Parts: sequence; structure tokens; C-alpha cells
Amino acid sequence: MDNNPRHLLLCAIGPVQDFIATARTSRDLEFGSWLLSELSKAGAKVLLTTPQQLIFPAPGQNLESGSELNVANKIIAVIEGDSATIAASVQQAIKQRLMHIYRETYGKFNGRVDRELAEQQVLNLLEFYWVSVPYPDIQDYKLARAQAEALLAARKNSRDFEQNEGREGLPKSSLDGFRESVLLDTAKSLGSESVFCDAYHADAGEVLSGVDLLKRWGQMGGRNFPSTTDIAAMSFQIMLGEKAKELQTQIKALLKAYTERGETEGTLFYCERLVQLISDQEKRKEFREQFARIFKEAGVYQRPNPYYALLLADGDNMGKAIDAQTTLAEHQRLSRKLSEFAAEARSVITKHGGVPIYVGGDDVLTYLPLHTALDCFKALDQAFTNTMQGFTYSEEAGVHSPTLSGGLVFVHHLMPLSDVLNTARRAEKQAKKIKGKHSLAIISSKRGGVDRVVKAKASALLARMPVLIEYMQHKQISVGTAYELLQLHQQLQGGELPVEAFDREALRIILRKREGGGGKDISKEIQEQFWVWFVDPDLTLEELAQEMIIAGELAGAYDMAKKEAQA
Amino acid sequence: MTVWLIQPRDPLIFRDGKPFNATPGARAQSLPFPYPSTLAGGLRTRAGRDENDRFDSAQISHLLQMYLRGPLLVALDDQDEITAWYFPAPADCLFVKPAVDDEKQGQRYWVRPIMPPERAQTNLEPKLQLISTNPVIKQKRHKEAPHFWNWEVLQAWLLHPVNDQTPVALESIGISGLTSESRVHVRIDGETGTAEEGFLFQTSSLEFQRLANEEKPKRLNAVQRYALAIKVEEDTDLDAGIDFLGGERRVVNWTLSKATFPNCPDEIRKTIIAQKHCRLLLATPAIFEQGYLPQWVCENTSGLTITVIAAAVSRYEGISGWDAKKGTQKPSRRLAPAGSVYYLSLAGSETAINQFIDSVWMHTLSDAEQDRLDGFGLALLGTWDGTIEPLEVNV
Repeated sequence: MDNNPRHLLLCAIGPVQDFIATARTSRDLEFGSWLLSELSKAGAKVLLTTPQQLIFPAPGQNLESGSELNVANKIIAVIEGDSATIAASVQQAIKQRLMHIYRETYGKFNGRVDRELAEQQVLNLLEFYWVSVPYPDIQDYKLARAQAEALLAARKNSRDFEQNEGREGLPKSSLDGFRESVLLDTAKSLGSESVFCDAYHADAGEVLSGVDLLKRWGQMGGRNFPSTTDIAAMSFQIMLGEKAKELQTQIKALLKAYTERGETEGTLFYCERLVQLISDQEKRKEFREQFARIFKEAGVYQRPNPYYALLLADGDNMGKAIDAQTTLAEHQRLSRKLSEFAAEARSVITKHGGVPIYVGGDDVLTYLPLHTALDCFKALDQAFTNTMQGFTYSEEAGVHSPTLSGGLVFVHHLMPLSDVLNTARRAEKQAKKIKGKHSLAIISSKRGGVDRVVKAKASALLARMPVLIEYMQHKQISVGTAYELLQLHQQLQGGELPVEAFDREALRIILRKREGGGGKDISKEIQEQFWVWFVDPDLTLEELAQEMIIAGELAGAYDMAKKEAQA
Repeated sequence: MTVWLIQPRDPLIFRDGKPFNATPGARAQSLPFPYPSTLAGGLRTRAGRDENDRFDSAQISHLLQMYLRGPLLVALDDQDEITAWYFPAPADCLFVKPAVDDEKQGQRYWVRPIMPPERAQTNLEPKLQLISTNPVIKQKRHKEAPHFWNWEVLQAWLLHPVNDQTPVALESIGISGLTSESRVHVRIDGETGTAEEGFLFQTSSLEFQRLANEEKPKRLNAVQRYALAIKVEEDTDLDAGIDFLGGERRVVNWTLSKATFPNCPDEIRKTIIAQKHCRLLLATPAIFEQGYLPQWVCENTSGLTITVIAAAVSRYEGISGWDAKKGTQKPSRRLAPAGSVYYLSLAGSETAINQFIDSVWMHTLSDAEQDRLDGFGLALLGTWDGTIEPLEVNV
């Protein structure tokens, strides 16, 4: 036993991959993210009582089960007593919370399940690493923290695991391809696909393990998370106004005639989502015809936009900012400020019609409707800059405060969540590559087309995009012009034309255009704006063209939501 | 032992265990590299065919005894000769982005056993030492770090792992891996000959060709071809020719190669014997009964007491597969990933250590015999002088 009672304890909970990255549906992602946060809160709660001193997550927050607080999967605390005993109590609290959620969930199934195998899989889910270093002198926080972080990294270099007790003869999970299925019935044994889907909250043909069932049935503290389809439907619902409810009522009644299964409010507007609930091909055809008739009789000729946005953002150089906090008190202050940002971020997202999936520390993962995504990122960026301005770190180029960078993706509501997350990570990675960071990358991933990527400093992109969207909304410039500029770039790049000649040729394309395809020249103001962009050394013609194309895609969503881009 | 080359004609799919059925929206995604059992299955199926190309089930028990080593990734020239051997990146190397802002460069740091600060504790098994760069490097792993190192670079690392003093070009170390190619498929209505509405399926497979470097514009004659190489017993009755491998019956060509698997360099051998310690690197993933630590190799080497001092092991990978003998799904098991490195002490005579080297180098070390025969746990050896330095943390 160590005679010096005080230590700095670091704990890491996982596996993040299993909790988050293996999501197929939005519910898988939301529950996985929620569960990891709940387990971290349960572990952190153990360290709230004196003489332990919680540093991260910041003390003074609501660590109770089911609270709205999102906590990262890392716990830092100053502890007094035997490290192994204290760490064991943290791990035990986490396990108990997990088993509580498991038992709460497993009472709700409609279908038959191999409970023994399911419980074994859930119990074996957790990874827990901890390190502790002596912290004898309270002044030596920086050294103790540096040692603890180094040891935690070292600990994770040796990922210990036991051999799995698998079962032969069982198909493997559709989500992770590893855990065996716990479903005791199939669509065939139950007599119908819809009965199977209802019994397990599985898609037709899907195979689920005990961990997967937890994601599909877990209650998340009674909260309801909208689906990606609901988010995509938002601008359409705004356009419909009072007609929305009436349409939904009629569609629900129509659906009931074909299946017992229901859908969320936003999903009711998407015929192709609803037909998946109907197994018979002939009945699907009938349903499509009736669905179209409802819209026609209501005088609604548009269909909802099938795209929504996912934002993945986090702080730049947070490691440097944390390292620059040399005392325990400073680190706790930073931790509290990050919590304040997270709370404000949730409010910002909700105000913009978004649904936060995870907002904790400097991390943000959220769904957003297309027509509010840019404004939301701008507001988050501002909130983060304001919150972090009191914390600085030194680099060669001077003294800085942390900033926010993000990857924003526009994706189809039926795109598998794992692909959406990968695309968002790709976008965020692109943003982080820009010198000085504080950047935004947008990837527009259309079905039947190549992904379009634009990236720039956040301030520049957030200034340009609303202008371009407004041009598109008012038909002052068309997407066709963007393709002409793209073609110009492809034809002339790599050649020997001087830069100014290149810019002038691009301007000539603009000058040839007429507003709305009519007789009126493009306004002088717009011509001058394009010239400014053409000669901007930080903006290539190709990048501008891609931004215009994405702006054209967004303009449709803005119009539907009756929103002006520069309001 | 003879070396066979398996050259893909099509992009190959090595399934990840997720079901792929006729449900609309189903996807078949390939692993980034095949597990040995896929090649073992391909080898034994091929060897088990009679002169009429029919598989003889009565041969299964005999075929299961066929010993496969590999697969290893190789580069080919226009004459289908092997020009380069590739091995999984070792887990005892931290590859970071250099201070110079260049994505195409990186710096390597050796991860080795360390002594933590006095009275520090962790929940790693007490019998194992922690491993770290020393002094501690705080930078994160380079996201573009090569996943496969070429043999010359790995050989140098096995002999003498040194931190790079200056940035090195990523392409000088190895390659990131095989390119993933996605395709969307439809279901055709037999009566109308048209695609059925809503029935879209996606497959992602591995392309065994890539540009030798990132030249623009891309030229067909700048394409580098890759293949899989396996080693089997001399007397294996196998014919060259076309066959299928992996998911979706993709086509490959089996040819006999004159090449041999790399031998243990003399300098590595001499150094291990002198230092009575070594590193053991997994060139293919291994299956150990206790999870992440080898047992059989430690307990079955006569005249030598082998102790695992430390282990550089990433998170486990999962494997199941299909049992052709039983006609059913195999149970899921956890693999110690390829690239894992174990630091061993070898207490015994020089002769015993020499024999150990011969029995381990390019042999398989999984705990169960069938897993060894299937190719799991192909091993290489590197040097380590056994020192465990105190951890140096710069504040």
C-alpha cells in the first residue's frame, strides 16, 4: 500500500467502436452514444464524494442517470486512498449501470430471445483502463497529469482481452459481424416479415445480437429521438404549414389498412420508407397509388427533400490548451467552461431544429435540417470562441485560444449511418488539414453522383455560402454557371495562361449570363462580387464552382422552409 | 516448402461476418485483408478436387491437416515475379506526422517496455510491463501511416528499431493497403428482364492494383499489381489454374512461384542468441486460448523458458466463418491482430535459442493445432536487449 495517499487517477471507458461506429440506424447511433455517456457518468459519480476530487467531467454538474448531460468516456480525478480499490469501485458502478439498463430493456421485448447469450454478450461489452500516479505536491499538477496521460497511452498499447466463448451454428450480427444472433425466431417461423420486424425492431433480414437489441430497445431515459427521415422532412413540414397534420392523418389511416406497423411523423411523407413496411409487391403498388392520390387531392405537388445534415465538430488544439493549464484549479476551470459550452451548444442546436446526438466537452455530433445547418455551425463556432477566449496556449506563431473546426455532410435519409459517420469524419479531417484550422468542410453526398467537397476557413465559407444560396434562391445565377466555371477550370488548369487571364475568362462567363434566364444582365453588384472571389488567392475556381453547386442544392431546402439565406 | 501465388482477376471480397442476403439494401463489405482461414479453405478446396473437378468430401479430414503459411501481400512485375514482400505494420512503432506540415511524410518512434514512475499503478496484468515511446511522444498516430511495410524496411526495424531523426517519405516505408472498390447491384425480374424496384445491393471489394505513385495524369502502365503469396508443404498435390476465392465467387489464378519466404537474417539470429531476449511479430493474426497472450509457444519449446515481458497488441479482431465439415457457422473468436509484437525473455542455452528461432521464424504459433495448420499466428522475430528504461516524461 502506498503511504502517500494522494494520486491522480485517469480512467478510460470503451469500446467507442462498438458503442458508436457500428450503427446502422439513427437509433443505434443515438443509443450507443447515450449509453457510453451514461456509463461514464455512473463511474464519475463514485468520485464525487470527499476526499475524492473530480476534475473531468467537471464537478457540480448533474451526473444522475438519465440527465441530459453528455460526458466523454474519460474520467480524471484526484483521489486519496488505494488506487486499485477506488478504480475497482468506479468499474463496478459502470457495470451496475450497464446491467440496470440491460434488465430495464430486456423486460420489453415482444420476441423470443436467447437471454443467457444476450447477457453474456452485454457483460463482455465493456473495456475499462485506468492508471494512477502519485500526486504528493499539489503544485506539481502539470507533471502528475503529464505522467498520467503518458501512462494511459502506454496502458492502451496493450489491449488485453479474453478469448470469446462463441456458439457455433448461429448467424452473426448485421451490425458488427462478430457477435452471434440471440433471436430465436425468424420471419419465416413467425409467419410474416412485419411480425418479425415488430417483435425485434429489426429490419427484414437483419440479424441482431444482445448488444444490438439493447440499442434497438433501450429507453434512453424516456427521451424520443427523431429519425434522420424526420430531420429531412422538416423543411417540407414548414412549407405545408397547417396542411401537414391533415396529410399525416390521412397517410396514417392509409398505412393502417396495409400494416400494423407505424412510423414517425416525418417519415409519413416518404412513400418509399412506408412501402418497406409492406411485404406484398402488389399491395405496395396499390399503396403507392393511394399515397399519390392523397397528395394530389390536397393540392400538394412537391415532395419532401430526402436530404439532411450531420455535423461533426470539435475543438482545435485542445490538447495544447489543456497542457497549458498548469494547476489543478485551472484544469477544473477549463473543464467547467467546456461543460458550459456543451450546455449552450445543445440550446443552439435545438433552436436550429437540430437533434444533438452527442454534445460533451468540445465534441459535437448532431443532426440538422439542411436549411439551418450553416447558421447552426456559425452559432456554435461563435459560442465556442467566446467560451474558450480565456484559455490560451503558445505556439511559434504567437498566443492562441482554441477554435472549432467541423465536418458538415449533406446525405440522403436512407444512407446507412455507418457511411454517414465515415463521411462526416472524412469532412472533419479535411477541415483539420487547413493551416491554422478553425475551418469547415462540407461534403454533399448525393445518390447517383460523386461526393462534392468544399473546405475553407470557417469565416470565409460561412460568409460566401449564404451569398451564393441567395443568388440561387433569387435565380440571379444558376447552377449551370457553376458547371461552366468547372469546365473552364478543367480545360485550362495546368496550362500556361497567366492567372489574371484565367480570372478574366471566368468573369466573361458571368458577364454573359442573364438573371433568371431572362433578358436582364447580372447586376453590377454580383459581377463585382464574383470578381472579388475570382482574384482571391485562397479560393480556386474549382472550389468556388463546387460551392455554387452545393449552394444550388441548399437553395431548394431554403425555399421549401421559406427562409432567406441572408436574413 | 513451395510458394504459391494467388493473383486476383477480379476485385476480391473477404466477408466480415455480417449476413448478406436477398434483402433490399443489403451490403457485403470486404475486410481490408484476408484472414488465413480464407486461403486455407481455398487451398484445401482446390486440393480436394478430383480429376473431374468435383470436391471429394471423404478427403476433408486429410485436407484439414494441410499446413498453410500466409497469406502475405506481394508486388508483381510484368512477368508475374515477386518484386516486393509486404508485412503488416508492427505495433511497436508509433508513426506520427512530422513537425513539417507534409502529409506524405512521417516519423517513426519505437514503443518499448518502460518502468513507470515509482508507485504509479495501472490495471494491466502485474506480470507485464507497460510499453511506450521513451521519451514520451505526445503526438497522435499519423492517419496516413502505411499499414503494410516492405520487407527491407521491416527487416531493418526487426534488427534495430531506431527513432527517425528526420521525417521519412511514407512511400519509402510501405503502402497503405489495397484499394476498396464499391459496386451497386440490382435484382433482375426474370420475366421482364428489368431491374426490380427497390432491390439494390452493394458490395465493396479489394482491388489488387493501384498506382505505383500518385502521378497525375493517371496512366495504365503506372499501375502496380499485387497478389497473395502462401507457403505449403512440398508434396501438396495442387494444380495451377483458375479458381474462386472469397465471397461472390470472384476469380483468381493460382500459379507456382520460384520465390521463397524471407529467411531469418543472420544478424537478427546472432543478436537474439547473444541478448537472450527478442521481439516476436505476428505476420498473420493469431488465436490464443487466453485471448491476447501466446501460450503454446511459451510452453512447448524444449530447453528454453520463455516469458512474455510486454505486449504491443491493438484491440482484438473478430472471426467466425463457415465449417465445411459440419456444414454450419463457426463460433466467433477473438484474434490478436497481425502486427502485434511480444517482448520475450529466453532463458536457456544458445543451442536452444537457435532451435527456437528455427521453430518460430515463418511458422505459426496459435495455441490450437488446427489454428496453426490454418495459418493463424505466422511469426517473425526481432531483437530486443531486454532493458526496461524508466519512463521519461517531458513537461
